[in-house]
Amino acid sequence: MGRKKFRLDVTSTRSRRILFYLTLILLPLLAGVICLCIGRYTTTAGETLAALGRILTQGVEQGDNLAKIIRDMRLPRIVLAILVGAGLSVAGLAFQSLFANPMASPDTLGVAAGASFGAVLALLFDTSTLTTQFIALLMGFAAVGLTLSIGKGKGAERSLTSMILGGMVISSLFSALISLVKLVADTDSKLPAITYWLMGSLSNATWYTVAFALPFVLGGIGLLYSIRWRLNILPMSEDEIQASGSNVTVLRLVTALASTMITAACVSTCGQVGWVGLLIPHICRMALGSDNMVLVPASVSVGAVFMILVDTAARSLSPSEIPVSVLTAIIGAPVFIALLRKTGGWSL
Amino acid sequence: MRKMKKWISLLLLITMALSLFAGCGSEQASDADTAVETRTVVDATGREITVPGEINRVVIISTMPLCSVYCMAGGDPDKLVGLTPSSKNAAVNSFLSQVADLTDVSTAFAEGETVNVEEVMNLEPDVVFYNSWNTPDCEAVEQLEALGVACVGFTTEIPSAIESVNTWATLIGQVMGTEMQADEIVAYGLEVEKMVMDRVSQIPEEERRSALILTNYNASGITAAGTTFGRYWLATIGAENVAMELEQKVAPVSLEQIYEWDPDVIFLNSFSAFTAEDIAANNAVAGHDWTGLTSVQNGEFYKMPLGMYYWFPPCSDSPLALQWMAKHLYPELFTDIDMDTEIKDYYERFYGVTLSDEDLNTLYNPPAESAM
Repeated sequence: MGRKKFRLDVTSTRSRRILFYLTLILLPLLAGVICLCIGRYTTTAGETLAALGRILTQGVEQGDNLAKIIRDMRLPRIVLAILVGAGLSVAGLAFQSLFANPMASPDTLGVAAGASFGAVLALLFDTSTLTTQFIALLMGFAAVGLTLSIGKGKGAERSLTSMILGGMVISSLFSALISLVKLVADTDSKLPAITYWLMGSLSNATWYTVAFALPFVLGGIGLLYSIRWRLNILPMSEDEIQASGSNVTVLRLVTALASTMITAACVSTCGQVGWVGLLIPHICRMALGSDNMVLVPASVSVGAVFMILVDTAARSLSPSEIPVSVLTAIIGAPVFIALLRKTGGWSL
Repeated sequence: MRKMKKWISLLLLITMALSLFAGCGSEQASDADTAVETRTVVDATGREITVPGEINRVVIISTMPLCSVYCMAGGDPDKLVGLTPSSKNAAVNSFLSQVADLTDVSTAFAEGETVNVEEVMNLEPDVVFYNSWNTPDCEAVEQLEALGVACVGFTTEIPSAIESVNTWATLIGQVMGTEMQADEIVAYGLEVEKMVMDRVSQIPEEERRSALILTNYNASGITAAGTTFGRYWLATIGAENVAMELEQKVAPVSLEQIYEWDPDVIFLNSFSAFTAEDIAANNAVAGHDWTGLTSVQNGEFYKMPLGMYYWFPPCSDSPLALQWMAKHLYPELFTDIDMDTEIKDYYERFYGVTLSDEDLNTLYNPPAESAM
């Protein structure tokens, strides 16, 4: 039975480290450029790259439809895919450390349900895209605020458990509220929009929606990146964390806040994109081990690549858009199972 | 112990009192049944339905444009006691409000996509109209029929809008006993359809213009007409349908896909609040630039009118919608048809409504609040 676990060694020598980080940076860029050439509008890769050159050098002239499509439709979507994929992956990773639970996902604290409720409510009242995003973001933070206030208590152990329980309660509360809105919504016009939005889609990507999500997602990723070595000690007992010289409460709060920022911004921009926050961190763990120093940058990069690929499929496979969550699950589950079998599992 | 007995006896008393009321209700109903003779119709499900000879209370439990056809085919608007919220919204915000005052019609039975059977029963309907292709409707109908309510099914699966309207009008005429009026509508719809098809059939294949129908466009996305009605309209007016590859009735599509199709003409259904001017001036959704499209540059991006109902789905205005679309696609083939006169005549003839020029303007340029 003694099958050896499969691990990539990326940190033992300096050259390995350089190669590793170079790969992490180049992979999403490469995926982005390749997927920029794919879409419903028929062009060749050469024409696309030439158009990209025109955009960067002389701007888009009236009548240059290809450049317009690249600049206003494909580029914002790819940038959004990078943000969402990277953000949700690293948020999931952080939550799995925070709760020392491999099943924790970015919506453990109820942020996804809260933000979804906000968006659905805004859709009901037919607000503009930016208002919808804003209300969703607010409700996401409100949901986490509620969860944390429930989770308040003496002793860290109790606090963690009650945070998870609080998250479940708040999640189901907001899910019920979402159902209520769906019940009230007009079946002809509003309900299809709400249902489609809940399935998750990046089709709303414009530079405006991207600009809204960007600071929150980048801020969150930056925060988590800066405390990435501390994520290793998060699953330990409270005494052990104290002994390492970190303040438990602050560390936990910062982790929760950063992940919430990311998730709320993602959900408010493109609905509930499931699976990424669970799938990508585990894939990275299976390949690289459990050191968060390596896992945080790896999750960011692999998450971005994954999302670029999946969303390109969502927008290009058929003339009508395919909800991206459907694809993340359909592609994600088999990949996950295959990796699980090949590597023999993982540990936190 | 004694207290409990008291409660139990009180409960029994209430139950008995309630059953007494229920008894009264059913007795009255059976009286009415024997007093007036009944009619038998065959509905869209192919079943024989027995309806009361005298119908005074009608409830339409489906979200469909049936309401406008009902009013045209001789159904008395005053007999309509229940509608879905969206049908009511459409009725109140369209020209239907000039024919029928439906502001007081109840919508209480609609709970999202499902139907509350008890609320329908509260309206004491003589007959219920429903969409026989809609599962939640059919579930409610099963219960309503068990309660003795006559339920007549209508279909939304006939691709031809004209044929849909005709089938609905005929069935409504049979149920309400106003067949004469229905016959006239059917004849006129077929006449218009034949005229349009005859004229566009002369166009050689290679000279056909391409077109696309968008069913809705708002902040949450763009949807295009796919199968059924979308294919019917474009095939009938002799357009090359760029969206033939869509396999859904209504499909979410990206702006990039529309650029790929780049049809000569785009029709935007009046479900959307955006106007052709919004599109041309880039005033629609922030970040969506439509101005590179051939149709927008040539001023051939058209917003569909809102008459008795939104003109994309089959409705009592469908013969007008067909002429309007055909004339916009091939103006030179329909120079003899003046839409203003057509619409005014049609409204006069079938609804008994005289439209002013201002009315016509509202019909062509639906107000933003009428959007869905």
